[in-house]
Amino acid sequence: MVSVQNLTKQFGYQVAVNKLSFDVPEGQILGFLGPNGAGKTTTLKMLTGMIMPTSGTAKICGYDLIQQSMDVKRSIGFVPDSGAVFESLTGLEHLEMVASLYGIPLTTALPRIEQFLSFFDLSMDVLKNKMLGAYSKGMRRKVVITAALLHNPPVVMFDEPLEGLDANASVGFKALIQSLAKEGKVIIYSSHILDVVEKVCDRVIIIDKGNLLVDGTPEQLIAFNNSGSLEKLFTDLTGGSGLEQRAETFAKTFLP
Amino acid sequence: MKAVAKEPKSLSPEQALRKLFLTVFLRGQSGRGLTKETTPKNIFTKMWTMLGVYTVMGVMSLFAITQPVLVLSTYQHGLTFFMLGTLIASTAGEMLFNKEESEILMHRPVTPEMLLRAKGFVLIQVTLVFALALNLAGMVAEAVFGDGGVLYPVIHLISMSLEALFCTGLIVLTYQLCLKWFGREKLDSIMTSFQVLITVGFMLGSQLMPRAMINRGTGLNVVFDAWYFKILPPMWFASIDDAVVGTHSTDSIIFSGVGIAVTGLIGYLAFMKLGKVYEQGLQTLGESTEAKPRQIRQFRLLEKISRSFPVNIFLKDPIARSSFQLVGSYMARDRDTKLRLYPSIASMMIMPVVMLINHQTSSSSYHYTRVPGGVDHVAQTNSVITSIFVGMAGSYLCIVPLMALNLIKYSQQWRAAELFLAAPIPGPGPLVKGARVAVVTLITIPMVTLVTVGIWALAGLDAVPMILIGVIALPAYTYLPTLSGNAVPLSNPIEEGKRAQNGPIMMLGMFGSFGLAGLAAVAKNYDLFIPFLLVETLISLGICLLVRAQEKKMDWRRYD
Repeated sequence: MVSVQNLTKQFGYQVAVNKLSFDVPEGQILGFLGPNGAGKTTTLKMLTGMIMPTSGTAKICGYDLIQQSMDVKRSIGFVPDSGAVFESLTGLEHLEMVASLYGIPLTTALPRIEQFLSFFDLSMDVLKNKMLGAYSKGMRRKVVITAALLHNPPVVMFDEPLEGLDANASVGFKALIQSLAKEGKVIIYSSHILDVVEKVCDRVIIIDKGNLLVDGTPEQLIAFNNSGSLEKLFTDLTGGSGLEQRAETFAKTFLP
Repeated sequence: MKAVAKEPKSLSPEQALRKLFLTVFLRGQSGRGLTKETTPKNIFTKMWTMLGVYTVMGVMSLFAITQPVLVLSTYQHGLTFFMLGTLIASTAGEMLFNKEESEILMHRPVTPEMLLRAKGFVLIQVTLVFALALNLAGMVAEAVFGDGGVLYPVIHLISMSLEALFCTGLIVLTYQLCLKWFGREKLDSIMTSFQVLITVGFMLGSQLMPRAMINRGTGLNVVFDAWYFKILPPMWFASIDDAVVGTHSTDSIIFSGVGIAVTGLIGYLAFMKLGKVYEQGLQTLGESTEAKPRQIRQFRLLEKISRSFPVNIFLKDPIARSSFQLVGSYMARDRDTKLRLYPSIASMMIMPVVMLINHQTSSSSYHYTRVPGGVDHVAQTNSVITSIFVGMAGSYLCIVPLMALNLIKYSQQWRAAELFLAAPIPGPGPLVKGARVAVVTLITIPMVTLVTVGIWALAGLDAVPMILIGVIALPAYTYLPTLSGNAVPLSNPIEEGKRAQNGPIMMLGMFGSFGLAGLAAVAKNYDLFIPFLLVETLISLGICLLVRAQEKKMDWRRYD
């Protein structure tokens, strides 16, 4: 369903993503991990057609990322980490606009929006009458997730989707992506919340400085590296070991 | 009878984008403080004040009502061209390249060409409303009293629409050519420079062309014999009116054809052919960029300036010093800040210079017959007028910090200013002070130097002291934004800057500077220039001390 081949992105002299290759079959939830600045968001932005790769390519649902970018965009849903929305639109106006961009008639879009509203415990009154700029971060995130799934895409990419969501919404969201995967959708899930990734994802990729470090199921990776947990594996691989010791030293030496 | 429920209307992607960009134009990007009930519903309710000003400006065209259709139409098209050009040049950059917008739309199935056409459509729609306001008086008067008759408004509306398309297309095309020729990496700095140049070009044109039209003729008998009139776009669009409801001359028919062909070509290049280039520009916004060595050097330089004499005298407070560096960096680095700041300042500064050039040119073309031993009244009058113009150019300098400080209050990253509220700063005073010192040091002082040299060159060394009236009033003007209440730098969404609340302060500042110039000229004429400067110094000092005391007492309550 998703096939990435030697995907590379260079900003000036800096290589943000270096010849990244992986495949994701139908129905799989792929955890996409890496420390800050590892190249996760850049990879997702390339896969969604937001920025052009310097070299390499990808196929999504059989469509070439560069040659058939419109078909690729129709096949994906994306929740960016920024959670950007048009703040001067009401939630409903924003979702109606998104539906129109995918050519979904409003008669079809409105019942779908209502379904999401009831799933996320959002009120139609708020959605109709309040500008998105006045929404809380969590409410805004729910609208962004709805906007990504409204056209029922076969591939969905999430970049830190839980940011701002309360505990109930987070639990609901995790269940939702598992159900979506069971329906055959590909989910690419980028997050820093490692225990969630460990519980939810079928497979994990860890990248650092644009390079692929490991690729496998959470169980395989933990067992192979003898780490005990995904968090331990992650810190070992990305230079975060001995953090407790470093924190202690920092607190003791921190100047007033 | 059973009532049929109204089915919601579905929109095509193109229609949805047009609706989106018009809504965002009307409501602004952030929508802070807006509710569904209070949002402007259309361009008229959003911009009625500005439309009113444009309608009044359009009344000036009535001077040409007794002239042939070509004269009235050229004047109207000239005015429209330059006013619309300035308007589009100042808004298009922000509309075309918005980072948040590309995060929302670039992963959806919309082509850059679709985005571009939708934005172009909204820009044309908005400019047409302004063009209509500007041309209304002339169209109605020509229909009732002129040779053009009732058909004139209809044809003029068509030629005006073409002109709106031409102006929008030209500016969009300029951006795209910048991208194509200079590359994505240099987009930020090139765009700013081009926007300043376009604005200055349109301002110069709007000032010079009507004067050229009148000066070349005898009185109001405007003539178009100069070759350069024929290459000016307003002339092509006026030719459409003349070809249909005027003289129907061969020249007019040819130039209407030129106008239609060039507009078509520009529209095709801007909105169709170079769409791919626009995509590159949008993608640049999504890319993370490292700070360039030049930008790092700029920041270090700002730090050095803030600690050097005499700037360090005003920046003893570390918060004011940080604010100075922050504001200075935004003025040097931030695309959005640069695009709003420099074109606005350029357009303000160009006017007195044009007035001065124009006065110098017209006064040098007079031929006087001098009476031996008599009083040279003409020379005396001319000297007073020169004094007024130089005084205006000097006093206009006061507007520079006022405008800059007003603009620097707004930023796309206004939410980051929450940091000021969270920090242990008792009130906004030091932040406002830092911004003021930055604007004076980095913009106003270089500008004063430039204008002084310009006046020396244009009006001679004798005229230079007239600049003092502006220089003395400058400190007082830098304190005026504090009076408006919210003067904390970078703390407000940019669309709030477009609303009316800044108007009164700016108007007060402008009228104040004009008044100063007039008073100074009179004082000079009666040999009271030095006492005038002394009184002005005392008043300026008084205002500074009063507002400064007020500023020190300001707390955060109004920013909660």
